[in-house]
Amino acid sequence: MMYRALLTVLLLLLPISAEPYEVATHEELVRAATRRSSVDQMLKDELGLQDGIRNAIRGKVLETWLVEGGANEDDFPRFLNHFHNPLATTWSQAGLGGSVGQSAILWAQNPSQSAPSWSWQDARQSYLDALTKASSADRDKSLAATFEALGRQMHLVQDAASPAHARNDPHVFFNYETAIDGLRIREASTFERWRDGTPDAAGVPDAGWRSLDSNPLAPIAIARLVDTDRYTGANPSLTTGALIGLAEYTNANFFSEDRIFTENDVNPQTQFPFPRRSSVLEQDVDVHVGGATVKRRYLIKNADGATGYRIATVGFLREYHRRSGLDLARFRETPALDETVYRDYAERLVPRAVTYSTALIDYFFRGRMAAFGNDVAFTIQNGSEEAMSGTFTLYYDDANDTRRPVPGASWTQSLGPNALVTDLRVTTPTSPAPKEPGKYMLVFRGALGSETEAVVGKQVAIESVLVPRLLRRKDGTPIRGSSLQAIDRVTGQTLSSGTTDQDGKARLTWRPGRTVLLIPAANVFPMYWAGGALFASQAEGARVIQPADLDAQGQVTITIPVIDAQWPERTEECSGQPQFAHSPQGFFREGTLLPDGTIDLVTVTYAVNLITFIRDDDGRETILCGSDSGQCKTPAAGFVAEDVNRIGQVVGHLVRDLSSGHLRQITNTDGVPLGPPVCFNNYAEADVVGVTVVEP
Amino acid sequence: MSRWLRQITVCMGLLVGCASAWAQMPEGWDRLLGPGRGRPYRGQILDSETKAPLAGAVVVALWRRERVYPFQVNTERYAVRETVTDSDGRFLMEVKDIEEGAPRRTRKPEFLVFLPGYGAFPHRYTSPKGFLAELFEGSGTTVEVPRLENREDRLSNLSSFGPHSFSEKPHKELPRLMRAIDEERVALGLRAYPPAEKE
Repeated sequence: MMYRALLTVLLLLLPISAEPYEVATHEELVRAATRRSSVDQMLKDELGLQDGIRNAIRGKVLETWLVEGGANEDDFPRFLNHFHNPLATTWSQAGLGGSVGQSAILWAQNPSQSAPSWSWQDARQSYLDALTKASSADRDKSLAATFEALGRQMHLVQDAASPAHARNDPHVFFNYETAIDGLRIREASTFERWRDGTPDAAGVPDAGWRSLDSNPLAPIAIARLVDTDRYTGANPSLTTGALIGLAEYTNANFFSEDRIFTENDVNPQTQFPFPRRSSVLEQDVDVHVGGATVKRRYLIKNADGATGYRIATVGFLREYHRRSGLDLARFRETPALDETVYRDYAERLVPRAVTYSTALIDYFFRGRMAAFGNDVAFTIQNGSEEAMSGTFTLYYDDANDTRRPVPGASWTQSLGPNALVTDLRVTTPTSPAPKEPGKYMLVFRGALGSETEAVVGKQVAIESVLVPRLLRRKDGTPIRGSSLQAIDRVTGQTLSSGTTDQDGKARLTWRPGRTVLLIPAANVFPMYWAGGALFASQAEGARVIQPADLDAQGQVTITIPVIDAQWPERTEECSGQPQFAHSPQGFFREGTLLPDGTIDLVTVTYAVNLITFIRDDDGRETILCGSDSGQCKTPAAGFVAEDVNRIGQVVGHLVRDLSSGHLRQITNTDGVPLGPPVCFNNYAEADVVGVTVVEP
Repeated sequence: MSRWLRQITVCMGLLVGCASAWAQMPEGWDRLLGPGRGRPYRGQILDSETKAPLAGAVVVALWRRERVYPFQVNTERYAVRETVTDSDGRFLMEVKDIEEGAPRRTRKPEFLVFLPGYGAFPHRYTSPKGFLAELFEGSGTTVEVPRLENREDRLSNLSSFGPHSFSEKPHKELPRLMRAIDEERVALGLRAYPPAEKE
């Protein structure tokens, strides 16, 4: 017991290093994968972040949060969970030493890692929070956390391209990863060629990994990026295809420092069937050492999977063995991995580390939604390649950047790829009012393909539509051809204008809670709707239209009294016609056939010197006509919108200077007078008469 | 063999294993600060096409130290320093205070050179063999960086490094670099970095 304890302590104290790609290497790989991914475009197109991945959140650009996640995942003791042996009998035994650490696959999907936890599920929750949290600061914090978590997830995938991590090898000191980081510094261009190069088709994971059967131990499909469970240890040729886990490819085709030709190991933790002795051939290769070119004998991989690269040098004592005629069966040769071998490894593994981690982040943001229409008939379309089944919820930001769910705007739907749901009604929020009217964040939470708790966000613009219907109050008939304007009462801006159709309807865009309606010509004066059958002449007196004013079709019905002016007019006794008329050159003639065959002919002429309408409330004067006028305006020209509310009331007076002549005479049928006029009266006088508002 | 003797033998074996493992480090790959630590770093930055010296280029040196854990050697930032090139495109960075007091297993510094509108070193530069610090030791070296003509190249160049890879508090520790980055971001239509909350 004590012996075991001592050994454990020693192991813990020893500077044993199973270095993953070093921190700075991970930073470079994450950066490269991010550039290769569609994240930047997604952020711009879907979330409306104009700087995309270069958008600064909490003092760092989003890319930096990813990169830092990639670096921080190696913090002690998290790295103990960065191994995955694809040939372990079960993933629960696939970690470092079988169970010293958790398999990287399980670790990635373990929401109880530590505090904080950076699992895929945590990334999903952070993303949901980034889209829905009330405070702007919390949303920023969550978005940063999302990217940090994704950087860590990318790190785990990248580690699967490190042989030690795929072959259960806690190697000591200088190793593949150390060498790669050294080359990153010593030969930046070489490293960047590996990092940014175009991998062959097999170096990019086949999208089929997304739909492979899930493993209950780690059911989210990202596990398949690391291990598809297709490589069994007997079929290495399969690992050169694109539908293969990165750990499987690495395990089957590369050595780590302490796992070289271990096909015959008795320990199942270290026994890896490939590469094996029969997978290689020996070949002398020129290498440069200390400025000189020398031949070094390498083992070239030429079978059982990937081929055509140096997989190891022969053992350093090989030549000694040969010259001394030693029995190789007794003096076991130990091949080694030198810098040249590491370069060949990196040329194949670094691009895959990038492409596989690119696939991971693209998978996270793969959900797409389209949204169009308006608040009366709103449409959501599943723009993803997978079915979406869950809840679609709309959010908006108020003036304080507080994000709020739009009341009633949450729908549970199942939509296949490209399917859509139409005619959704959105009650545009008004209390508090949106910071940017019409701008919303649509958030999906639910199953996206096989992932049960996916999150998708989409910034959408939803036009608010108002359908005013104008009816004549007196008889309920539509008022056709009347123009209408929706005015923003805060800015005075005309939001839209339209003309009523045969049904008296017009279609206007508006901003709920800050829009008033101007009806310029239903009467002869412009008027704002003030609610009910009331109207105002100024926007300040108008009703700010609320969503509650609209019916289910987005319609608001306005009954309008169409008013006119009425004033008293005396009947002249001779002609039986009005004594005066508002007609500058008025002429009236009417004959009546009498029983004796003569004609009773009445002739009236009217003239106007001046007619003025003076309002009683403010004394405003409107000249209706003068002696030179062609015709007179109606006194209603001096009306204001508030007069609509005063039907039956006297609202002003006409001040008139008029004249008229009234003649009645009996004539024959040719119009020739048959005697003196029956009567003949001339009038020239000024009068003042009251004007009453009427609804004819 | 007594139990204690067996235990001591195992310990010795493990230590010998470690020693042999350490010996796997190839010659020329020692990245740690050596006996010559503390001497200044020098260099000159030129336009790769015109060979004109570039004044105002920000030169950043980052020292990482290795932390040894069971099963793992991690690296973490130890120190960072910046300077700018003079009218001849030359820089001299005094590092005595940093390197002489550096803990064991502190690596030689990595360098970044950034000037708005130009490709950043070392990402667009093929360095000779040796770790970056060695280039700038003694009389230093000349670094040529290309002028970037189009926006995409400049955006890509900006993405090739991040100030937070050099410092957790770049506004405080690398103000010249941050000004240069912000100048480039604004020129490319991006918003300047807001100060980090921690700073």
